Amino acid sequence: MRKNVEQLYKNMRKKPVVSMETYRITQETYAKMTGQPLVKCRAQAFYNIMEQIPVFIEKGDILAGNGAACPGGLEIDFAGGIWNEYEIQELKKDGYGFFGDETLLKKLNEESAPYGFSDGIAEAFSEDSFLMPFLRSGMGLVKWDSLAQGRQTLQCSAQGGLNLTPAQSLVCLDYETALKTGIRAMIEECDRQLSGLTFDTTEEYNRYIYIKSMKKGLEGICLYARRMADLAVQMAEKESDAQWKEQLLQMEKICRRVPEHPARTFREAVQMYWFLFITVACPNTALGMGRLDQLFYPYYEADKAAGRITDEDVLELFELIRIKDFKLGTIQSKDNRDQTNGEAKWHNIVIGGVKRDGSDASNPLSYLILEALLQCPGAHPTVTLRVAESTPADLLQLGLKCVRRGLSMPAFVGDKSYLAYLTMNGVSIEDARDYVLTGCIDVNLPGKSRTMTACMFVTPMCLEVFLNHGMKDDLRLGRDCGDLGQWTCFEEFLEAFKNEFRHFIYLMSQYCNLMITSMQEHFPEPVKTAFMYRGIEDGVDYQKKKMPFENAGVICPVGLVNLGNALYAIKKLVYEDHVVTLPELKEALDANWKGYEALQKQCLKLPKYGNDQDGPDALVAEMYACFDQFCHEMKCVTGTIYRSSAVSIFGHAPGGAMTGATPDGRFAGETLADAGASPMRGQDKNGPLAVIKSAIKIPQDRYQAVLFNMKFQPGAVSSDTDLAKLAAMIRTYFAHGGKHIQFNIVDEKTLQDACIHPEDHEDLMVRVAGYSAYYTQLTSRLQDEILARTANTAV
Amino acid sequence: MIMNAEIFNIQSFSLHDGPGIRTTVFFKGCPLKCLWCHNPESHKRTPQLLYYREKCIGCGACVKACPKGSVELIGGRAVNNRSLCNGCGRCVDVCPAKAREISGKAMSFEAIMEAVRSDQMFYEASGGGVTFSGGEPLMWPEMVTALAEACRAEGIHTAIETSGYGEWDRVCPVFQSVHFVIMDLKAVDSELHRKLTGVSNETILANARRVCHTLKKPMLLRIPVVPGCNDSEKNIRETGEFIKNMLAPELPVQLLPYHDLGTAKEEQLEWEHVQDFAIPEEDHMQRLKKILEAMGLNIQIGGAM
Repeated sequence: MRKNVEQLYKNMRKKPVVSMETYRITQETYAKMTGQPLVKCRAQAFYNIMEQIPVFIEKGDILAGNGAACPGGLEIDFAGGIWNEYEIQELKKDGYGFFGDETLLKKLNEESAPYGFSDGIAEAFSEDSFLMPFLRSGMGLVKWDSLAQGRQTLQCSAQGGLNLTPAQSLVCLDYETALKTGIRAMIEECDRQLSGLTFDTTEEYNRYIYIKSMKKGLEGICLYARRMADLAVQMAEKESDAQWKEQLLQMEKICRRVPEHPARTFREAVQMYWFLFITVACPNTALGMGRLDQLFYPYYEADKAAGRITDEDVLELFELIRIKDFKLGTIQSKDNRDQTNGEAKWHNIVIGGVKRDGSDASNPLSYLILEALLQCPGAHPTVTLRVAESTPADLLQLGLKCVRRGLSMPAFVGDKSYLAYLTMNGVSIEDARDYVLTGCIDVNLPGKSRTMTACMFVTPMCLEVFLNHGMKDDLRLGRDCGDLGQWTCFEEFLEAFKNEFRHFIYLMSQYCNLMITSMQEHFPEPVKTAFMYRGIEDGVDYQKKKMPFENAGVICPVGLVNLGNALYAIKKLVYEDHVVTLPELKEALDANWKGYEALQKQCLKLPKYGNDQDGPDALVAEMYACFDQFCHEMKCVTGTIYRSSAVSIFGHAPGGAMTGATPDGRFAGETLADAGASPMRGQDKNGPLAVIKSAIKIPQDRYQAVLFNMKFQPGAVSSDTDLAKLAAMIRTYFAHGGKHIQFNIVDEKTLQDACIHPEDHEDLMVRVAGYSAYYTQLTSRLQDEILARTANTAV
Repeated sequence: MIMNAEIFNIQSFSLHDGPGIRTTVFFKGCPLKCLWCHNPESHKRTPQLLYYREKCIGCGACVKACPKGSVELIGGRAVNNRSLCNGCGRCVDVCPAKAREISGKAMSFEAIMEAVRSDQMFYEASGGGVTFSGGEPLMWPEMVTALAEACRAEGIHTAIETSGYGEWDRVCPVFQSVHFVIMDLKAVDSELHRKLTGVSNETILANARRVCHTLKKPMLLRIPVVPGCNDSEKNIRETGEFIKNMLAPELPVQLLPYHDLGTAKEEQLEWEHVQDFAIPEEDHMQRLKKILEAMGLNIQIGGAM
């Protein structure tokens, strides 16, 4: 790592400070523009931020542009609504500082409270709406205790980045076209479109305003870059360090070129990308950063051929992207911070895979991006390696070396299943091959699609409510199914449950529709739209128009594995073995197994998903298919259907906390199975291959994403040949329909926790010298021994 | 056709038991009694009870379940009379604390084949297959031969991990039937070998030569390095000489440092713990490696491959 980068890396993890600059500028702009079209206000506010936000360059940082007004700062997200006194105090208690006068935040809130994303949702219903019981139940996360509280939970966020976008969207801009075109040419395109407009319909009026606003925003980006150039030259004049002075002058030149004009060199391309990323794409927690090895390769190739660049230069820029993106953090409301890991961020760099023509896409930059990860480890941004049949063995091996270092990234995704998903949904194979991951592992096409909600839906609660005659506590969510003894066979029972399941998914889709509508109506994004498919030509907000691939509404099922296991328990114990009747089982669940310990043991002892046993696996797979089918039956406000994505993110913990006891033997409140295809903790007893064999029974091709976690003890994969075998396992999983896999090489802490809470770590594998054992089954002495060894191998 | 074999584990995703991802079938029963044995639960050919004393909650369910009257409750914990226990496993079914487990299960040829086949997709991408291990798989020559031949017919790579101990006429078909042989060389001096394992090594060394020269099987040799037992320079040199002169100098040889995972199982079998062995120092391993390399041999530390 070069010295300048090393210094910046050292400061990377400092606690962020909250800045109110974009918030203040936006408020002031809105106040002056009362009564004018919303899209115009939004574009003007963006322009004013570009014009007024304080700019700075940290010493050694040769990549110009920052996501906030000060080093280490996070800007208040305008779409996040009001920060009340309580939130401000909690922020201070949690050790966050403020840039400038903190009383300003309170003052801004009081003077003209912003209309946030959650206000837009709550606008359309009242406390006695049909949706309130659903929202209060927590079946769709996050739980709303009341209209006001729910709004508050979704509010308050501070993030790195200069745009005004709601944080929820999963999207990746079309950087490739922008880098080739330059913003000047895009502005000219706006003019061309404007001059050609006639006024025969309302749409043309709206388009005119929209394109005019877009143009304003684009001019803002160029202005921001010019300000950075001016700053660089001012700093250079006063700089005594000759080397840094030289760098500043070079930065000035680059910032005068891009983003206004097309990038010509690798350095210009990276700089232009970065400008667009922080001004247009961010703030946003779930962005696709794009296929960076593909995006930059033509520039790299030309520079290398001309002898203009070395791999060390490339590495320096990639490392800076890592460090600078890490600092584009996020702070959310206190509730979100406590309950839902509310500081998480998913900026996703994609490497590998295939090109549009189907040939292998990996190139030297794919390796350098992983090298930058090894040099500059950090939780963000994440890296995803697309694995195609043609992916070179050494690239996969390098990825696994990162994993072995305990970086828990890259994640690996299988091109086969992702391409199958896209093409079965009407995407051309060429476009499909260009897919990126946004959020954790949700698929999108750069510029050609976006996901506006990916909300979590707690599926085991559906069974709970169904068995409880449509009630969750005192809330009525569904219809009363009548006498629980009425069904003569499991198939009849399952049919009745599925009917209600469908109804709950319908309620979820209604809630999601409100979210999408709130974004469409209150947060038009003219600047972002310019970087999306036919953005300038159509002059219609990308959130409203139909995209080439439509996946605006996505629902993420949480705990389908528990639901499948639970249904299997009902099938086996009630309808096949007649060990218990359904009303009796219901009593045991209501009692949270108290007094029914023997029955609970029987339930726990039944085969479970994750052991390659067809009984439970088949029902888990069936519930996956069923959930996906029901999503497809729900209408999304964008004129299409809902799609499914099996990514529980953090939902399995709060989702489990709100769900009563389930027939799989689980206690009320216990955390649900994490992710999509992972078994319930401790219930996979037959090793990793059995889990994989269970996971490929799930119809994964039909899902936008299916997350799959696997844990290893570092010693399990210590040699390079071990990694090659792990690579073979990954390839096998993907060849048979697997979508994603990521590895946790467990650290000392986990092992220590496993000693105290062995029940939570029953699936933890340890391996020493060719011998595998489950950690919790070893004696405490041996556990200590392995613990000591891990400490030696941990990074 | 063939009777069942007693299996104490079928472990998929074995990484160090041959090339690629392997499914290892562990056969019960071993004619050797190595002082440092890692898998003591495999000594007998019949099922054996493993008891996790610290998990026992003293509920007494096992006492009631045992048809032989081999369990008593003493001081709030189950105490087993091993001489009465026949490993029937009824106590395991009723134990609420998961403190009891049976090692060993009679499995048919078909049942083993099915387990092996179910991992076949992983063999293909990794160049893996099945490994017969133990215990001592040569104790079940008909079964192993039948399995290996069936696997071969289905395109599954087969390996055997063995001490090499067995009467040649009986074990020759086993070696003939597998693709790859992994054989232990614990000590070359016969008296030392007897001291460490309870048997002399003439049969083993002769079988190693036959596998190498008569059958010309691809082979890997493993030397477990157990401090105070067989880690002397003398034994390592003699082993090296044997490999070089009597087998073939180009054969891959792995030096496996002793680990003490077996001692946990000793406790679970309620054996008297006789002897502690140290884990060899890294530089000692390196020194032994250099000695063998100086003899022109192909040496690796550890079982990765």
